[in-house]
Amino acid sequence: MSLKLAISDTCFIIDWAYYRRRSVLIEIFKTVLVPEQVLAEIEDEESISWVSAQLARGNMLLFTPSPADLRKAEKLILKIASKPFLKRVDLPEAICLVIGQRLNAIVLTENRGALLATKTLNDLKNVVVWRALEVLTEAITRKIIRVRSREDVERVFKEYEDDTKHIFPRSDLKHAINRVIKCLKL
Amino acid sequence: MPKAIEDKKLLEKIRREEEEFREIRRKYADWSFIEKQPPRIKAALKYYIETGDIRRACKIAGVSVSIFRKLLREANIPVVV
Repeated sequence: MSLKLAISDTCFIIDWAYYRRRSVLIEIFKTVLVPEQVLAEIEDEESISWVSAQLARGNMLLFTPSPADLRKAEKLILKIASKPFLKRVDLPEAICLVIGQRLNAIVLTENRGALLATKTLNDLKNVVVWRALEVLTEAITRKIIRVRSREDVERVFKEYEDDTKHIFPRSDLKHAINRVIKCLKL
Repeated sequence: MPKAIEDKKLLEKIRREEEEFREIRRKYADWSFIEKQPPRIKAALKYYIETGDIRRACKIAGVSVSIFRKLLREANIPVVV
């Protein structure tokens, strides 16, 4: 069964579009929301052609934030900027966090500012943020991507790193691999 | 555990991760590619290596996030989050 809803920011989708198994995202989620402000930032051919194809098929949904969402996002940007230990976020990520919270949607991001904000700000503690690492973990544990051994699991994460020039933090990766192995009893 | 100690531990973890991620970006970067770029692009790639902040780097380079991400791939600078 697909999870219901996710909302993607720019940094996630422009990396994910380069992944050889990018279609698994559509199998995990029933709908992936793409805010207008995110779509406006996608310019490279690989990403925009994939996203527009998903919009055409109804797997992704172009989302227009309400004026109230935008006001809340602007307040969030200022709040995060006022905390010296956090990394700044900009409007597209802030919109994703605000809408993710309002609609109970999983926020897909590779933005460290957005990730740290949900870990440290009490009013964002209920927002669920997934990086590609968590998306792949979900895809493997739900057998959307089939694996038979630890080596297979490691290969899935490595493929993503190779395709997108991404490096998962080693401790997070180890934790994800162990979680998958335990869950699938490999 | 008292909240102040928890916060201190979290901040220390964030600081350590920042340093680890910066080292990874420095290590993998194709420095000869970076040095051959026009001044704004070169400065932006170096800024990204130090901070991991793609949006400010884009402003320095004068290109969109999407185009800058392609430049990062060409310069072999990994995204670590």
